[in-house]
Amino acid sequence: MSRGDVLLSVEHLSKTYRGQGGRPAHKALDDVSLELRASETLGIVGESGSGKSTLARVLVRLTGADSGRADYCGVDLLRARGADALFLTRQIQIVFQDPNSSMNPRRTIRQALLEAARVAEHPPADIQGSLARMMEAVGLSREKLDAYPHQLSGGQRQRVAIARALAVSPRVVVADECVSALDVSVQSSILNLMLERQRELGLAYVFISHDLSVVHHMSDRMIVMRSGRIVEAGNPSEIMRNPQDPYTRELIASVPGSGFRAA
Amino acid sequence: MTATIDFDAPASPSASVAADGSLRRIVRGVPWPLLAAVALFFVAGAIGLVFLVAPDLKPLVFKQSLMRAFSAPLSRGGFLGADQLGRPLEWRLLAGLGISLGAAAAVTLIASVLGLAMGLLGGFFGLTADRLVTVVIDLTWAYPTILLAVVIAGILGPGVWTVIWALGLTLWAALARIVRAQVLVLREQDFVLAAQALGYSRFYIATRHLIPNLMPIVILMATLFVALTIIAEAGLSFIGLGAQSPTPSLGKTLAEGFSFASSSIWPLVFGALTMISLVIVLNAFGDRVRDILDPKGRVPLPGRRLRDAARRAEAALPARAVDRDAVIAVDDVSVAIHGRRGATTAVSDLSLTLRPGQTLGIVGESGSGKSLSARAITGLLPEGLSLSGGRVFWDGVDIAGLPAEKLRDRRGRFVAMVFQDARASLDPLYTIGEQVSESLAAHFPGPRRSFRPKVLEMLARVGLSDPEIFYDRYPHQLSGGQLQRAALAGVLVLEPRVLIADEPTTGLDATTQKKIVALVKALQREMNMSVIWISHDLDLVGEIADEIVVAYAGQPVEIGTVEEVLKRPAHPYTLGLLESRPQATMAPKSPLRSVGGTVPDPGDWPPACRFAPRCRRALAICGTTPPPMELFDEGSGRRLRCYNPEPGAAEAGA
Amino acid sequence: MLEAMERCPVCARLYAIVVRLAYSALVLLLVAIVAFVGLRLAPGDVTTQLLDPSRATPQELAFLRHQLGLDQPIHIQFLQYLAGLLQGDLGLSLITRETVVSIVANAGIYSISLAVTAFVLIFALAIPLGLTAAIWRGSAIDAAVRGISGVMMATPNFVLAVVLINLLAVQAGWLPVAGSGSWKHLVLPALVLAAEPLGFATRLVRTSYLEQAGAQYADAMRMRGLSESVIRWRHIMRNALLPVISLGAVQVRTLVGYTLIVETIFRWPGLGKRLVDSVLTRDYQVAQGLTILLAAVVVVATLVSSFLYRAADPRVRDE
Repeated sequence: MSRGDVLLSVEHLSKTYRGQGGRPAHKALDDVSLELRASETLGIVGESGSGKSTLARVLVRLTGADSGRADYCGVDLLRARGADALFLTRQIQIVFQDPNSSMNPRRTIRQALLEAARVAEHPPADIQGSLARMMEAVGLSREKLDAYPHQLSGGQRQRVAIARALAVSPRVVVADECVSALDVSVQSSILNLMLERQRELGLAYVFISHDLSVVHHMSDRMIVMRSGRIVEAGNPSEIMRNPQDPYTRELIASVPGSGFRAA
Repeated sequence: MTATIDFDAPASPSASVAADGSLRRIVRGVPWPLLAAVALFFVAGAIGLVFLVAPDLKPLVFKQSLMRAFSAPLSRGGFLGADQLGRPLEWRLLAGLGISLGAAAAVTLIASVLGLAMGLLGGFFGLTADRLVTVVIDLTWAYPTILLAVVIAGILGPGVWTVIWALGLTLWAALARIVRAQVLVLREQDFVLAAQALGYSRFYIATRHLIPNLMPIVILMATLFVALTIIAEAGLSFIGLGAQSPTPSLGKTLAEGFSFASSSIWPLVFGALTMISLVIVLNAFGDRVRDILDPKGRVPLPGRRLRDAARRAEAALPARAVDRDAVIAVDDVSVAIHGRRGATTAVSDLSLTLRPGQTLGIVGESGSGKSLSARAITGLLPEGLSLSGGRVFWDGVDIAGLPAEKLRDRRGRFVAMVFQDARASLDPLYTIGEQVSESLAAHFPGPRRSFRPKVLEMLARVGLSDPEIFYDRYPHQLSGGQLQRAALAGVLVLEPRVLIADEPTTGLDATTQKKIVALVKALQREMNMSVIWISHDLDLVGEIADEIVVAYAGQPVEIGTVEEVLKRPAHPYTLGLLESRPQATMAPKSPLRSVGGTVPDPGDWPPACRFAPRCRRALAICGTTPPPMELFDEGSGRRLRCYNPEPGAAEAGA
Repeated sequence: MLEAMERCPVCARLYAIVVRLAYSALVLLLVAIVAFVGLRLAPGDVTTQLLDPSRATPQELAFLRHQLGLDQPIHIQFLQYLAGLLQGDLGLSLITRETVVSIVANAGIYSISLAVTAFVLIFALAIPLGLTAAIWRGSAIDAAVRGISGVMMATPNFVLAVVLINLLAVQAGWLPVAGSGSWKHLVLPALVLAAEPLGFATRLVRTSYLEQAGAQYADAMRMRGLSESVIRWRHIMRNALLPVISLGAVQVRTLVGYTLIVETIFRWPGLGKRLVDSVLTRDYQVAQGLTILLAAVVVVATLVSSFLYRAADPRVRDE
C-alpha cells in the first residue's frame, strides 16, 4: 500500500450504553464518520463524555457498536471473527493512558513484550534478540527487560507500552490519552518518540487527547468531538485559526496561552 | 535539540515496595520468632499425623523405646498421663495437632480453589455466569458454617472428614465474594485490556493475568481459613460431631479432659494450652501476612514515636524576624518527612511573600514539593511531617507561636485551601448545603439552619445556579466541576484573606477549567483576597498569577513576575519546561524540545544544584556547591537560584 | 418501564427494594430445597429409626414409608413440604412426637434470649472500645484493647467455656455449671458466645475509624477551621460506623452457628441444642425444619442490614 491510501473507513458509527437502575441511557457515539490514511495522524480532541475513548475501544474491538460501518482494508471491523479478527489484531494496536495500570505488576517487561510479540504474523526466529531491539527502538536499554513495572518511571512505562503496541508490527496505532498522565517534560520526549517511530515505520496514528495543543502538534488532520458527535473536522492549523463550530471556539479559548514561542 | 540524557535513568534507587513474589515478601516481612513458631507447629503437626496414620511406623516404636529407656513412669503412659486407651497425652496432643493442621490444609485447599474459581467465573465470564455465581454464593452464605457442618454430620455421619467437607463447602463463598469484587476492578485495568486487544482468550487472561494479581487476597483469606478450621474442627469434635473415638482430635482431648477433670487436670490444661497457643500464633502470623499483602496498599499512619518526633522537631526551631507588610510571609521553610529511617527533607529553602490582593503562582512538576509547601503555609501538615526549619507568618504573626485554638480559629477566616480532588474533600454522607453551613457554624454562633440564606447566596455566587437544589444534593450526585465549585463555596463563605488553591482544576475539562479560573478571579476581586495558585501548568498560572515561583525538587529555583519568568526565563529548568510545550514548537509534527531525565525523589537529591544532572548549561561549580537564591534583578526583585542563567533573561540594557 | 425509571428516581429506588426482596425470597426457597434434598441424601431413611429392620417385615416397612409419604417422587414430597410450610406446619418430630412448630416455640425463647444478649453485648462493647482504641491510637489503652481483643479472637468458644466453667462455676461456685432456669444460667453461655465476635468487632471498629481519620475530607475540614470534635463526631464517626452495619449481619450469621456449640455445652435448651440433638438421633423432620429456620434468620438479617445500609449511605441509594 502506498502512502496516503485509505486504511480505515468509519461511517455513521453509533453506540448507546443502556441505562441501569434509574440512570438514563447514554449515547456514547452518535453518527461518527471518519477516514484514516496510511502514515498519517488523525487527531481526535474532546473533553470528558465526548465519546473519544469509546471510539478508541471500538477501533481495537474491545467493545462493539450498535450501528454503522467500520472497514479496515476491506475487512469489516465490527463483525470480524477468526482469521479476520487475527488480521485486525495485527494491524491495529492501542496504547493506553495510565502508565500505572498499563502493565501487569506481577510480570516483567520481558514477559509483557513476549506476550505481544507472539501474536505477530512472522515472529522472528530470535525472539529474545528482537525484544532487545524493541526496547532500544523506544529508547530503553535491554537491561530493563527483566525489571518489574514498578521499578520504572511513568515515562519509561509508556515507552514499554509503545514497544508492546509496536511488537506486532501494526500499521495503525490508537493512542488514547497516552501522554496525559505524564509530566510536561516527559511528555515531550514520548511525543518525539512517537513521531520518530512514525517516520521510521510509516505508521498511521489515531491520536486521542483532551489537550488541544498536543493534538494540534501531532496531527495531519483533526476532529473535534462533543457528546458523541463530530462537531468539526479538518486541518489542525486551519481549525485553530478559523474555528467554525461554537464549541470548538470555546475549546480553543479555554487553552491558557502565554505567548511564549521558541526560536 | 534534546540533551543526550539517558532515558533509562532509574526512577529512584529507593523505589517502593516490590510487587514480586508474595511468598518472598512474607518470608522477609514476618519477624523470625513468629515464623519459627509457625514452622514448629507445622512440624509437630506433621509428626503427629505420621504417628496417627502409621502407628506401626518406626518413629513411634523408636519413640516408645526412647521413653522406656528414660524411666519407669514413662512406660506407664508418658509424662503427662495417659487416656483410657493407654495412649500418652503428649502423643495425643501431637496427633491432635496433626489432625487440626491436616484438616486446615485440606479445607484451605478446597475453599481456596473453589473460591478463586467461582470468583473468577462470576467476575470475568459474563453476566449470566455472574448472576448464577452470586445466587450460589448467597445461598451458601445463608448457612452458617457450623450449621452446615452439623447438617452434613447428619448426612454423612460425624467425623473429621465431615468437618472438612462442611468447612470447605461454606468457606469458599467468603473468598469468592472478595475475589469477584477484585476481578471487577482488575478487568478494567489497562494491562488486561491490552491483552484483550492482542486477542488473547478470556481463559488465558484469567490464568496469566488475573490469578497472579489475586494471589495476595487468596493468601490473606487462607490465613483466616486455617485459623477458622482449627477452631471449628476442635469445637465440633468437642460436642461430638467431629472426630470420633479413637481419633485423638484436640477437641476430643479437651472434651474428655473436661468430663474427667476430677481425675486428671492435665489433659484439660495442656489441651487448652496447645489449642490457644496454636490459634494465637496463627492469628498473629495471619495479621502480619495481611499487613504485608494489604491489597488496599494503605499507607500506614505513622506511629506515635514518629508523630512525637515530628512535634519535637517543630518545637525546637529558633525565633525569626517579622515582615510587617505581607499578608503571608514564608521565611526559609523546610519540611521533613519522619520515616522509620530518620527524617527526609521534602521541601527546603522556601521563602516567599504574599501581598494583599496579589496572586502568586507556584509551578512545578511531580516531586517539586509544591503541595507540601502549600500545606506548610497553612500550618497543617500531614501526620509524621514537620516544619524542619524556618517560620511562617500570617499577618506578621508567627503561627508556630499561636495556641492551637487560636490557629484553628484563624484557619478558614484568614487562610483557606481547596484541593485537587474536590470529591475527596467532602463528606459523602452530608449534603452540600450542610457542609457549607458547617464552615460558618465553626466560626460564628447560631444553629446551622440560620446560615442557610448565606449559604444559598454563596452557592449562587460560585455558579451553582438553582442553589436550593444543590443545597440538598449529596457529593456523589455532582460532577467534577460542580464539586469544585461547591468546595470553593465551602471555603469562600468565610471570606478568607488568603485562598490557597492546590491544582483545583487538574482533571477537569478545559472548558470547565476556564470557568473555574474566571470564577476565582472574579471572587478574588470582589473579596479583595490574595491567592496562591499551585499548578503544573505554566500557561495556566501565567493567566492567573502576578508573580510566579518555579519549584524543582523541593526547592524554589526562580521567582519573578509572570512577564519575566514566562517571556524571559532565566533558569534552565524554566526554559526547559516552556520549550517542551507543544505550543512552543511552530512546525507541526516536528520534534519537540524536551528535558531529559527524571525528577529525583526526596532523599535522592543531588548534593549541590538539584537540576545539574539534567541541565544543558551545567558548570563544574553546579555539582559541588549548592547555588543560593539570589537577587537577579535589583529593580523588580526577581530572584534566581542558578550559577549560569539563560542569556536573554536579563532586561535589555540592564 | 425503563423510561419511567429515568424520570422518577424514587420509583427506581422502590423498584430496587422490591427486586431485593424478591431475590431474598428466591434464596430462601433455594435454602429450603437444599436442606430438603440434603437431608434426604442420608443413608437409610427414617423408617429404620422407627422400626427395627431386622424384625419388621418388608410390608410393614413399605406401609410405614407410604404413611410418611416417602414413596412419592422427591419433587412432590418437596411441594407437599412447602405447602405445609406456608400453612405453618413444619413437620413432626419422629422421636418425641412434638410438632416442630411447638419445638420452635419452646426452644426459640431460650435461643433468642441468649443470642440477643450476646448481640447486645458485642455491639455495646465493641463500638466504644474500638473507638477509644482508635482515638487514642498508640497509647496504652490502644495496646490493651488490641491485645485483649486479639486473645478473645484466638480463644475458641468451647475452650473459653471450659475455662470459665472450671473457674467460675466449679471452683468459685458463683454461677451454675449448666442448664437453665434463672438469669444466672444465662451469664456464662452469653459470655462465651459473645467473646470471639466481640474481639473481631472491636478490631473492625478500630480499623474503620483509622481509615476515616486519614481521609482527605478530615483535612479539608481542618483547613476550614472546623474543630476536632466536630470533625470526629459528626463526620469520621458516621463514616466509620457504616461497615458496622454490614458487620451486624455477619455477626448474626456467626452467632447462629456458634449457638449450636454453646447451647450444647451448657445444655441450654435452645434451638441450637435441639438441632444438634436431632441430627445425632436422626430425627429428620426436626433437623430439616430447624435448619431452614436458622438459615432463614441469616437471610432476613442480611436483608435488614442491606436496607439499613441504604438508609445510612446516600451513595448506595442511587446505584
